Amino acid sequence: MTALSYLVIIFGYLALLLFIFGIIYRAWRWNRLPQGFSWGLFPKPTRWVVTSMLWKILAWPTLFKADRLLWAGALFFHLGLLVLFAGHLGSFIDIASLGERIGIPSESSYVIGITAGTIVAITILFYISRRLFIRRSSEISVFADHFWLWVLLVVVLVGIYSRVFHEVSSDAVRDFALSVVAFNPALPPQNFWFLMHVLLSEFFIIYAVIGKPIHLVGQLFTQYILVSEEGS
Amino acid sequence: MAKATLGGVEIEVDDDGFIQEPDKWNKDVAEDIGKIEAVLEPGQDKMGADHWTVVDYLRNYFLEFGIAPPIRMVVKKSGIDLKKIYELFPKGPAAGACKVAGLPKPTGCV
Amino acid sequence: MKTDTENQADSQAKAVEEYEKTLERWFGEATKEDVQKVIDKLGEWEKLPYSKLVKLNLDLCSNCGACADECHIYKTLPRKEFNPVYRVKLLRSVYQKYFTWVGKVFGRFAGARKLDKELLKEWFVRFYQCNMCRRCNIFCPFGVDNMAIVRTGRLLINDVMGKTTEDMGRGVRYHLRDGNASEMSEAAFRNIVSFWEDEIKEVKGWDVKVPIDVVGAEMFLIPPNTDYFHSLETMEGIAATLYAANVSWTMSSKIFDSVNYGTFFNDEAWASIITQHIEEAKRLKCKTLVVGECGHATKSLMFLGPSLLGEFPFEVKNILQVTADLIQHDRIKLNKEANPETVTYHDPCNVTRMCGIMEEPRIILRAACMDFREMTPNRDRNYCCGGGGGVVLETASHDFRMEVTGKLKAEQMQRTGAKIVVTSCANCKVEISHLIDQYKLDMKWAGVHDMVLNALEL
Ligand code: HEM
Ligand code: SF4
Ligand code: SF4
Repeated sequence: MTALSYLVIIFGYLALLLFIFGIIYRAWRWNRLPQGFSWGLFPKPTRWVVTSMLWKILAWPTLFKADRLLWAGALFFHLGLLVLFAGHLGSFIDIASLGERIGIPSESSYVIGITAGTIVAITILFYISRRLFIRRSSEISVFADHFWLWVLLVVVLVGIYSRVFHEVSSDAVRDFALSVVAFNPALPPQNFWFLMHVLLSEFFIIYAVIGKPIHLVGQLFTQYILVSEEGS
Repeated sequence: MAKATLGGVEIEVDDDGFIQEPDKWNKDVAEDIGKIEAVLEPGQDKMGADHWTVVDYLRNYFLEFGIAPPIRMVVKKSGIDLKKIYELFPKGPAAGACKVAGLPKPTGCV
Repeated sequence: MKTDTENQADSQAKAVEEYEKTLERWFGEATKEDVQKVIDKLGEWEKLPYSKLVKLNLDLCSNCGACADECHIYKTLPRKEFNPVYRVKLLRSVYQKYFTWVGKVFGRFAGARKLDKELLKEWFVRFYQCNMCRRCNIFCPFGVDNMAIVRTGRLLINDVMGKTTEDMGRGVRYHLRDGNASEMSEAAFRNIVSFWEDEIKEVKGWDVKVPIDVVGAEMFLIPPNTDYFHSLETMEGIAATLYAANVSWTMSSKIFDSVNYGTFFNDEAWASIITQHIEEAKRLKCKTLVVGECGHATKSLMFLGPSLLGEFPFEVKNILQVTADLIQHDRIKLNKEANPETVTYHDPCNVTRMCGIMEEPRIILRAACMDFREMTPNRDRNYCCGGGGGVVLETASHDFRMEVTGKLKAEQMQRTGAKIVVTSCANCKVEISHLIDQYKLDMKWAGVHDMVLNALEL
């Protein structure tokens, strides 16, 4: 179990490093390239330009028009992810008491977490089945598309499983997480399923830089090009 | 580029059968292309007067201006309406009649 | 006995196969060096004037396939090879192989592919099957513009091997040599102009003189070559409109063809044709350069040109904007009763999605026709006519256009029940006229200004 603990710590730092510098690097790579052509797409917003860009980035109206099912699935998926991320902040700060202050009893954290996890798992299954059974999607999917979905599914399922059957006290998690952030790592809670969940999630953070979640950063550039009058 | 024997002479033609050496064109060449592109009167083996009105107009315009004239101009100036032109040359004025008249293939959105 | 559907599928398959064979023949064979040069060029991102967008597109597409059903080609014939994502992945996989470390390390598993002669040939075939209409673009959740990638692929092949499709390549050669794509001399130009004048006289009884080479005129008009050969009424309508509104305008006896096929595959030729237009506009000291009913030229001169070559010392407008403006300021009088038939409008991709000219044609048609009816979908969500991206320029693409790329448009036109399909782009007019013949539709085609010509009164 200690070998696993060290792995978790080492990969934790690696993931953090890659995440921060990876995103900066990719944004820098995009940004330095020329966009001499004005390549907008009409109709362009003439007022509320920033708002309409944000709307496009956050609500995906274009996808809504093209594929409503994917839009709905992806929306639930991302909202679920969002809730999960928020919950994981609990590993660093005491969000339970924060939640109580805005009226969410700390006991519901369990229900919210499991529900969000289940939604994400279901929507991942939806993604996978799209890629398997819908022709226009299956005929263009490559191994990596499937692979990451399965990784993600395993991450979430392991997370749910460890929460349900091998609950680790949130204080213990927080002590460990803060020690890592303070560059003085303590030994993590010795629970196999918990450690697996953390390790896999660290892979996911690395994936975030090379895989689909980088969309959020790329979108800022693309949407700007699509609304801008001149080249950028 | 392929070669074809038309009117007794060897002439280069492109993929669509347009001749590539406009100087070698003469009436016999036209008659030979016409065997493929033109609809002849029953019992005839040569093109009729209407065929020649269109072909001559196209040819003379080409010699003067270096291009094929607009279709509407052909109709108006030759006095043969479009429907009739399609009866004479089923592929139409551009792909049919121009080919017989020895014009190069028209380019662009025309 | 085969059913109708089977017969149709057969003729479709045949049309595709034949055009693909032709494209392969035009491409010929690539050498090893060609392949290497294409890879090297792909690595020189900084030199491509819009590489930011292309790289974003290559990096961001998630292979979700949401765009596929929005492409009229894939919708008509849902073959894997016509899936927009399959098409652009031909290039993306090569980019991944040589320029991303994920592709380098994980290779095929990450979708990366080595470029070889066969793949390069497939690039040529597939990229010249795309209509570059950018309809897929508006539906993508990440704003991925498949057209930008298709154009990049065409560009790379043309830069390295000098290859493009036949008639388009010839058009560009002529354009660089003569200043127009149809080998027209000044004498031919003047001859056709006087034919326009005769025709206006015939239908309107007006003595309209088309001003030529008038230095200092307010507007300098350049119509596409189609208006000289295929849709003369359009240019007659424009000349009559400007005459009726008493606008100060001119044409040029040297530069009278707006088309610019470089737009579709070659930046150098494209820029030098634009430069021809700009230099002539400067010589004539016009205030506004007006592009006739021509989609890609409007996009080129209005947006791409200034952003690449620097601001122009004059304004660029499309004739639709000019005429709509004249109508709104009551400078011309239109009598709707001259156009009693039901009219519908096909939104050309370049005029609409890429230049944002959507309401102007409607203002004009509502003022000039009794019964104007929308096609669905319309405006920015219209389908391409099937001729875009230079596909319509090839005689050899006819069956492919009729059976595959234009089929949806034919059905759409028929559903409107209109008697006249109006459009404002030279390419679309040609394609639509072919569709009407092919599908024996009970309708005619026309340009926007053809309708204006009928309705115009002094
Ligand atoms: C502008 C922001 C975003 C948009 C428009 C967006 C859109 C989408 C869409 C449409 C899908 C489904 C695609 C498919 O079927 O492959 C997807 C998948 C996904 N998104 Fe996002 N997303 C955004 C931001 C994020 C962020 C910030 C994350 C962060 C963690 C994220 C994580 C994922 C993951 C993990 C998947 C599934 C992965 C896969 O298929 O490999 N997304 N996204
Ligand atoms: S640009 Fe048009 S033709 Fe090309 S893939 Fe997209 S929708 Fe299809
Ligand atoms: S281009 Fe956009 S819509 Fe099409 S597969 Fe890629 S991400 Fe999906």
